Amino acid sequence: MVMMSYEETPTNTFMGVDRKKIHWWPFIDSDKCDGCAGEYDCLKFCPHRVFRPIKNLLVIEVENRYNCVVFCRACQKMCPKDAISFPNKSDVLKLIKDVRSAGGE
Amino acid sequence: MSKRNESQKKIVIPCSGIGKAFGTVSREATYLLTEELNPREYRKMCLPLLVVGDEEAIKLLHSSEIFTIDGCPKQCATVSVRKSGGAIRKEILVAKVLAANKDHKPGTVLDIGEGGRLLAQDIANEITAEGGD
Amino acid sequence: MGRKYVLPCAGYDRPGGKIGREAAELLADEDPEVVVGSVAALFAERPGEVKDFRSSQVICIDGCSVKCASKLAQARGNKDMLAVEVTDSIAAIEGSEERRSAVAESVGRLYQKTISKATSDILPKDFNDSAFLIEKIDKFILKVQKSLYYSDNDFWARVEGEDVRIGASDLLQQMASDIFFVELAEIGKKVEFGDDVGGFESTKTAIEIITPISGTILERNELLENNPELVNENPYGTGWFYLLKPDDIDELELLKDASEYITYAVEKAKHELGKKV
Repeated sequence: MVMMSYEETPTNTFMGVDRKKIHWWPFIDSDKCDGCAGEYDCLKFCPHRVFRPIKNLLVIEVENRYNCVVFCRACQKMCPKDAISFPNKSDVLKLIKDVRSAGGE
Repeated sequence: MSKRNESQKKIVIPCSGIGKAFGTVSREATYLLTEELNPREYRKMCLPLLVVGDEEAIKLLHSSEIFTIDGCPKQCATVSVRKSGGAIRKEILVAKVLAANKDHKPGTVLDIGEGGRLLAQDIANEITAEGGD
Repeated sequence: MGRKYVLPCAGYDRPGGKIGREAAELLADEDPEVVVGSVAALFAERPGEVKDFRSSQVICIDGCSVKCASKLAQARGNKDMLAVEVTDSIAAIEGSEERRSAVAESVGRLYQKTISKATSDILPKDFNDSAFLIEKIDKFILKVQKSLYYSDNDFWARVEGEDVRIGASDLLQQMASDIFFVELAEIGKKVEFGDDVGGFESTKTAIEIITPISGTILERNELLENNPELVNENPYGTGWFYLLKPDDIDELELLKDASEYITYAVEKAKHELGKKV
């Protein structure tokens, strides 16, 4: 099976911090996720190609975590099974501020 | 149908928008209502007739109840009907109907898709809710 | 408000005509956007005259109740002109300068009424600072208003006294495309930087409003309920989302200024605009 190659994050920093240092992407509860019976709502919705379906198991997983827009949780709102969650925004913001003050990227 | 009958019908006038899906949806809704759902009471009218000042069209306008369906805020159908002296029973804005039925998002201008067809149905329903079916 | 075409009538046998003409000239002296029209040139449809007439807000000054200027403007196709009549009470004012000023003032009041009707007091006072940075990417044009701060989520913040107004950047409204629905949070809600506060939907996608500053919502843009397209049409002006009372104005340091943002936005636009969702 050929793996589709997805584009890299267009801008590799967010608020001046290296995107890969920021832990922001959706977490999927595989007990709750049923792949929307093959419709994969979140996959269809997300314009940043964060998701990838695991077709045999009718479940979704995160393919490109760093494509996820920091602070965006739109997919969580659309999941009919409430299977998506995100890290705590305040924690993430704090990390960003700390990295900035330390002068690092 | 006798001429008299035609002139007693309620008139539905969609906009002529060709750039966006909403324009196609406006016309789809018009066909749905005037050809399928209730051709006995509703008829369609070609908007450009008003733009060119067609006398017959304008005359008919003045003696009928009118429903306009506009695909964007420029509201070409509504504005043209007003300028021609017509009285509008109800103005429908496709965007507003979609906002009330958010799942019925249309596809593209060439193919409005299932969402678009459902939206057209929603529009037809709004018109009959006001004008009676 | 743009260009104004002030058309005094041509009356010379009554004082109103002369006062009207002088008032028009006074207005033109004070405001570079004003061009004084000529009834004769408009009647004869001189091309330069017609161009000015059609591309400006038309304001007629009629010297008497016959209203020749207004009639001509209507006959030449203008439906939304403003008009002032030099009434007997103005003609009775002592002193030609005072009379002229009284007419010019009536005209000034007319423009104010139209401006405030069009925008109400929702527009921030310094809005006419219309300085933008502009970049072209393929067939797209990106506009970034200079005096604002921007988040990497593509929202702007404008300082207004002690408060901060926020909205979507031009890049964001272009990525969203035709917005048909905006949902706004309640007044009084407290938000933290990065929180989602309402959202908007377009035919392409649904986007959360992510606040670029922590604070309390003081006002929200009620116009967007019936006119969601304002976000697309005027993202930096009448398409604003909220006015907030910031918790700490220094938080704006986390944001980019216009020139930093445009660099970021251009890169993003290359990947995002023109993409099929």
